[in-house]
Amino acid sequence: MRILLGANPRATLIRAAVLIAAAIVVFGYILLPIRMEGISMLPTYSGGINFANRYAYRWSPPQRGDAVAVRMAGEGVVFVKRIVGMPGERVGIEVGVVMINGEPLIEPHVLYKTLWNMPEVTLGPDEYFLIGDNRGMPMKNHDFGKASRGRIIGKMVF
Amino acid sequence: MPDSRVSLGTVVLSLVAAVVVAALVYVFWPNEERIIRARLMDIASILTVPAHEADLPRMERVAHLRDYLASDIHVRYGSQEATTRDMVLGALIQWGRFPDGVKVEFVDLQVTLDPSRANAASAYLTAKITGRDSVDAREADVRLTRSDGKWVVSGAETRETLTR
Repeated sequence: MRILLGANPRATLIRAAVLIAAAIVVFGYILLPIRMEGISMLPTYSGGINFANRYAYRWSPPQRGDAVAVRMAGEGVVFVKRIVGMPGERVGIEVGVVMINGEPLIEPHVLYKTLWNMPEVTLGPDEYFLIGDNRGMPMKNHDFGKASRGRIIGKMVF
Repeated sequence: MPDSRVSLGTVVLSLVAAVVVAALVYVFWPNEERIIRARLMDIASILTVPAHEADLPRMERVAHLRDYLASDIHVRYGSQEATTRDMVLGALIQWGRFPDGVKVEFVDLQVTLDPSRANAASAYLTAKITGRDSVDAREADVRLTRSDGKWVVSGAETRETLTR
C-alpha cells in the first residue's frame, strides 16, 4: 500500500485527483483526441494520435490550408481534411489542380496527385470545401466536398 | 446503552453499495431506447465479417438478419436502393466477401422514440467499417418499427458528410 500511495498518501490522492480532473477538462472540452486511420491525408498524417483544438475557431473563422476535424453523427468518428475553399467561393478541380474562382490553388501539402476532375461548385455563405492531402488515390475512394461550419469541430494541433 | 455511532467505513460502504445498486437499476431497467440500441448493436455484430469466411457460413450469418429487418424495408445507399428484405439480404451476401474480414461498428448512436407513434423510432449513427488496410465511415438515418414485440429496421439511408 505504501509503495502504491507513497509516504504521504493524502498528497498522492490529491495529485491523482487533480491530474484526472485536468485530463477530463483538457480532453473532454478543449482537445479532442483522434486516432488517425486511413490514407486520405497522406503524407501529412499516416497514423498515430493527434488532437483537434476545439477552441481554435472560437474567435476567428477557419482558414484555407487548415487541417480540420469534421464530425459525422457525433465525435466518435471524424473526418480529418484540409480546407481548400472558403464560403462564397467557386471550387473546381481540373486535371488534379484545385481551382478557386477560376485560379489554380497552390497546395504545398499535396505531394501525390492524379488527374482528378470535378465540375465547379459554388459554396454557400456557411460552407467550406474540404479535401484530403492524398490526391494520388482514386477520386471515387476519397471523401471530399462541402461541409457547413457547424460540422467543423476544430483545427488539428500537429 | 447501545453505541449508536456509525463508523466512517460503514458510511463509505453504504454509499458504494447505493451507487452500485443505482447503476444496476439503470442498466437493467426496461427502456425502449436501450432495447433499440442493443438490437442495432446486434446488427453491427452480425454484419462484421470474420476472416476467411466461406460462402455457406456467410449466407448463414447474413440470414440471422432476417429477424432484425422488416419485410418491406427500404434501404438507400448512395444511388443504390433496395426495397425488400430479400434484396437487402442478397446485397449483404454479395458485400460480405472480404478475405481478411471487416469489423462493423455503429458509433455515436442517437435513438429517438417517435412521440406520436408508440411503435416507431429513428436512429442516427455513424457506421464504421474497419478492414485490415482500410477504414470507411458513413452516416446513416435508420427507421425502426415494433413488430410482434420486436424492434425491426424498416428503413435506412446513408447521409453524405461531405457533399459535392
